[in-house]
Amino acid sequence: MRLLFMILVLFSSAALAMVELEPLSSPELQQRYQVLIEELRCPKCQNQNLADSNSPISADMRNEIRLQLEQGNSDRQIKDFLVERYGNFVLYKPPVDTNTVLLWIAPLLLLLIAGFVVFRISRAQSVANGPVDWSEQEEQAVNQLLARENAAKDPAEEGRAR
Amino acid sequence: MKNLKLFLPLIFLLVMSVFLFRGLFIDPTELPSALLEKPVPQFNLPTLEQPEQTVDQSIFSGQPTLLNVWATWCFACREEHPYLVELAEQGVRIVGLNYKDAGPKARQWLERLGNPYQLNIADVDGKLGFDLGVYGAPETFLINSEGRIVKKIVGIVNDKVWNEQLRDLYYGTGESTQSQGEGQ
Repeated sequence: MRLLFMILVLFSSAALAMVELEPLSSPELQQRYQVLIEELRCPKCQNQNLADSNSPISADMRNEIRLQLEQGNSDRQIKDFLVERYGNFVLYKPPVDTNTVLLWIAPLLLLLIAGFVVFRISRAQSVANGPVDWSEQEEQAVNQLLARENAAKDPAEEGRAR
Repeated sequence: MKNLKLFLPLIFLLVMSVFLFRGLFIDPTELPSALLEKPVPQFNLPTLEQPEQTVDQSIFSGQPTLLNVWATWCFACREEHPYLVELAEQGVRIVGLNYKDAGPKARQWLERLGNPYQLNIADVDGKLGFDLGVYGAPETFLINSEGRIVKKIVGIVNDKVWNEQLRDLYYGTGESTQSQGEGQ
């Protein structure tokens, strides 16, 4: 009984699959159709393309695409037709114009800024930790100062340690 | 200068918070209309009231109109309907777009619930709706006296929506500065 149930559940997903209409009149058109419905977004759904969406508006749009393909319109013409009515939202790749240029550049820009910040931080760290260039004279002067300090410190420390 | 650098992450966080907060009130399913400022698409369709005759886009010239997309299968349209009746009683011109619906059913519905529409365009296969960028019901377009679409409301028109987003535009008194995503 449980096996039967599991089998039924397994096949229930088929109920969601779209009934595929007759193929278009040529394999090239069919191919273009397939590409278009995967490239175009359903306006009503959140992030489903026309191929995956069950909504009536997607069905309308698919029909329109089929019609226009059979009429001989180009992909560009079909997309323009749909964008004219539903806006750039239906394209997964919005065109690059004054409104969308920020959308396109922002990721790259942020990456560059992040890279720059990392660069500056790592440089600051290496400057703090790395060897300092100074001349022989300065080296000697420092060594002398250190030696004098150590000599002054030691007797005082020995006194405290006891 | 060093102090400013320390504050940069905080400033960035504050800026992000502003955008995220604003985002809480934006409905992602609402699309801005691609047809703003464009004339109503051409059409030639029968009406519910007189199926033997047809009307075209010229019915929108001469005075501002609310074009309300509705259907008997649309539950929210029922909710919206009484308010439309109210508006019509105040003299607002409302034309209905009966979207993908059956004529007899639609006429029955109006008889039962009241008819705020001057006329109803019978868009049985949704062709005009498609040209208008309709993707659900109810939707309402505000069309000015030149026949241009100046506003689109996705969802129910109620008192708040009318007062905040439509009324001033309809009567031509001042500008409605609210964007479409807010105030629902």
